[in-house]
Amino acid sequence: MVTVFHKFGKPWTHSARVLTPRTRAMLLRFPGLGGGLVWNRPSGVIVDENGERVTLETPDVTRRIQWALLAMGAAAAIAIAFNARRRRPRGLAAALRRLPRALRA
Amino acid sequence: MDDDAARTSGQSAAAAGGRAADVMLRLIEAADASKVYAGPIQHGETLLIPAAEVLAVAGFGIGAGTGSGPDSSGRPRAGGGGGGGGGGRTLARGVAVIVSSPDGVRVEPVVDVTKIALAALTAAGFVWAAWRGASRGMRLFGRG
Repeated sequence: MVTVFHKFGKPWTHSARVLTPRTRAMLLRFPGLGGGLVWNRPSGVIVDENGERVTLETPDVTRRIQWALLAMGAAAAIAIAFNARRRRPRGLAAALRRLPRALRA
Repeated sequence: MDDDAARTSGQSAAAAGGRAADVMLRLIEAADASKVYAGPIQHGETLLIPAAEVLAVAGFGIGAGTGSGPDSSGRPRAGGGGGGGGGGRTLARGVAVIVSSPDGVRVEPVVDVTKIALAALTAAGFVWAAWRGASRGMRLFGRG
């Protein structure tokens, strides 16, 4: 159903170094249904130079910032809701006491 | 008549199945590394390789069937048919550029300001909704 695999692209040679791009792809197939989803993204580049091999990652900065912002927003929303719930007097009597003023507002 | 109907529906289903297989092959092609890394761009002594994230979605369905029964004059009739349909979409977004210069190789990330601004607005929406809900609740049940 879900397959994750790495693939290597065609190596490129530039000034005595060889760059080999690498990708990570996820293939999702829906059982019983036609079609699927492919999510393919760069995972790094392998640099071969002077007999040394180095792998440079290709970070997705936009995606990281997006997740960080959404996580902060969700955390702030939960904190506000939790704080409001803690300050609220409980019980039906308290609610009925506040009802006329709340309806006026 | 029944044989003709079955043959017609079988041919339709086979044609639709062929198209579905073609869609699936194209979908699997999206998982190739050549779809993520564009060809290198030479600029002076520097080589640039753009890298993008690719998301491809496709869905399709096929069906075929036969049927028989009397027509308005009571004569037995048979028919069949088949078909299929589907759709898909491919999205791509630049992620980084690999820069190979005489000084070395480095990866320059691509920052999509529009997507970040949208995420910030969504996060602000979470906070606003929570604050609004909390202040309404306080007014009804609390000390507000």
